[in-house]
Amino acid sequence: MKRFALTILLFLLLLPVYAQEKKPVVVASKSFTESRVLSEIIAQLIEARTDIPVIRKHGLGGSLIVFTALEEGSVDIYPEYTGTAWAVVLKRKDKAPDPLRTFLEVKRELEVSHAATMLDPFGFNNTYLIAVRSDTAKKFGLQDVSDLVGLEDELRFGWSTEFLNRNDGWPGLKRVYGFKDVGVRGMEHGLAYQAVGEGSVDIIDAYSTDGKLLKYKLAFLKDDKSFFPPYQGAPVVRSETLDRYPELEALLAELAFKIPDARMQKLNYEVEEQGRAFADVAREFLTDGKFIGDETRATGDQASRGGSLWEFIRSRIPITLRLVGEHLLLTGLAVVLGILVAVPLGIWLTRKESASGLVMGIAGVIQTIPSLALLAFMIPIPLLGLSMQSAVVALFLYSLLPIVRNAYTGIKEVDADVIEAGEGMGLTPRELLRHVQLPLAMPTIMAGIRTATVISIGVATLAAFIGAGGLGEPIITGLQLNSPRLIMAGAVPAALLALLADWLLGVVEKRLVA
Amino acid sequence: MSSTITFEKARKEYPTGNGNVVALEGLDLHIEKGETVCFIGTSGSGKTTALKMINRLVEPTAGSVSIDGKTVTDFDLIKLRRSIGYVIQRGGLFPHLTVSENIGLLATLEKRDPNVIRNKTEELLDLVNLPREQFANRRPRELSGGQQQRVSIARALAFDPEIILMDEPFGALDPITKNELHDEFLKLKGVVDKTTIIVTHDLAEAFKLGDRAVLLNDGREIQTGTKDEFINKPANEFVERFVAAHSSGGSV
Repeated sequence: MKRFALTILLFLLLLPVYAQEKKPVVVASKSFTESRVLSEIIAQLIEARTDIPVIRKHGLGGSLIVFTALEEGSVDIYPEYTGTAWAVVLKRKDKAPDPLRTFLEVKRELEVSHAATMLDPFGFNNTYLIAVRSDTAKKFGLQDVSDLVGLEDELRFGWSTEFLNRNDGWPGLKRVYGFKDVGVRGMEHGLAYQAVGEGSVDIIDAYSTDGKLLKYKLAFLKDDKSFFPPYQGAPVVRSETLDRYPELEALLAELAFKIPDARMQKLNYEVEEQGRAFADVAREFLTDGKFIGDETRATGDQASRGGSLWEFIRSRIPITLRLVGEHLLLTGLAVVLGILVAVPLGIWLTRKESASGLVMGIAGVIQTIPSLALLAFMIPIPLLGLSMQSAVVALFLYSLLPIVRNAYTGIKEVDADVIEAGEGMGLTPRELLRHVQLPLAMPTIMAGIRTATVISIGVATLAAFIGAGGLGEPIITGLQLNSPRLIMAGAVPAALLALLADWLLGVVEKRLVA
Repeated sequence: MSSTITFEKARKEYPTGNGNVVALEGLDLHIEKGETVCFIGTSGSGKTTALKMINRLVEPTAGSVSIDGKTVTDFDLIKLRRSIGYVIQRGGLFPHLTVSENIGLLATLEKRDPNVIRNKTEELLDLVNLPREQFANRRPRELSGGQQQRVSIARALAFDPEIILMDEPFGALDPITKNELHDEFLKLKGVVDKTTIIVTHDLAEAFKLGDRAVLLNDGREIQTGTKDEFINKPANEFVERFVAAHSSGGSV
């Protein structure tokens, strides 16, 4: 019990402590380039023009995660789209009206029901485009979205996972245009371009301000039934944040209508295709437009994509070490908590058989929750939010099943003769556990811990989607930028870490058992 | 040092899906200090149940068992068990501990002087005929069945108990090893003074090792007596048939 209390204490000590007098403003972005560029512009503008400390939470996994975090209070500002807010945040099933009415309605609804507001739009309308390979378009004579009807079996759709599931995405498109239900592959948006480029899909959804559109040979189909709602980009801000820092409203209003479609597309292009750092692109935009002065500041949150592989690896070493540290902290805390809870639980279940079905059932159900969903569930919980703690709790929950099941099985499988001999010779239940059952169950228990650790290291790469850091960061950025190198920069160390952890625990196991 | 053991109307019922099953029906029995008594019977006769009532691995539903006149339930459970040596079929040795760790486990847990423990362990290995330098550091899986049983007996003797309970101790051994161990057991009996109870289904073993045998069937005591009494004054036809069936091998 003492040890357990100590761990909890340690955990609480790790809660971030902000020494600043002013409460920082958390500026967040979703996990795609444009969101991150806009978020970076907002962050730098606030930093340059006020003395409010800014914390960045980049690359969060989807609209719901960011908005939930905003409502919960762990995000203050993030760039959103009117049409997205309409469908995902306000959960409106009806079609969004014209751009102005959609904006006003979203703003009002956010203010009335969500303690937030939407400030004036940046100016561009990043609506969905249906993009087809040029050769495919020529072959089938495609011009309008309607032309696709009847070709569902001949063409391969590669919708992004978000598009696939949104009312203003594939489900609505299918209804309005009358598409047949066909097998559709959902994929990460950044990969969709690559897929259409290689020809493994024919049609993808694209954003009209997307920088990658300049790179691939794509034809765009006209939304002849005016299905896609307007997607004007605009900052969403917590009302409480504006009450605390009213100056932010006027400051962000300076950006209103300053970023038309072409400008946004160029900003995206500079990051994605020219390999420039988000921070540099954002700063250049702000200085060009005289939003901020011209003093230069050190940046470099992103590796250049030029240069040899060796240079790339060398340049990644310091940041990778930090990420590995974060990754180890996440998984280490989660698995240690898992051991402290699940091993005693498994042992207790061997004495309380009636509860074992229920407890294993619950642990099993937790295991079946998709990792990203489990991470997202943590955000509205007080004290958790968008933080390392959320990721630790989610990983901890994942570690329970393998550990509790193996502890239970390990203890149960100790030879009944051995137990009888121990009881008969007068070992107390505690001595029997400590000197007979635990040592004999140790290989099984350790196998559970190894499984839990390897799973944790893998799942922890998703922690970056809720801003908890770790080796998922370069993976997400790599997906945004369509940079296999950057993806590998996260995936390879994560895989090595898993192998290393498994090997080390194997050594520990041998020590313990011998 | 040894004790008397007394069963008084000791009865055990187990609840099952359709009513209670009686495992042992009102056993009355008095065992003298230093006596060796064999509980004999077929599977399900109640012999193991009766044995386990002594070290309270089984608690009687009714009646009582007492040691030197004191009911076993009045003893501290752990102290009671530590004062009784217990040997089971296939030894029940702790597979993760060496031979000497198996023998010395209880003494180590009671924090006795390691030197004393080592001396005692070596002395016990001598007693059960396992050369100490050869066996002390082996693990149970490196021993034959007979050797495991010797270690098990040594372990049972480690705390100088006044009572030894043996549940089919030689049941899983081949005939030659079994015979060897029988002879050694008898030799041992000459050296150490313990009240001993052996559960067996082998009448020859019971007659060879025991001063008396208690024949049980379906939870009832059928006859208690010496080999002569069983052969010459069988209590009923069942005893006659039981003895005859076991004599056909010629070993009685």
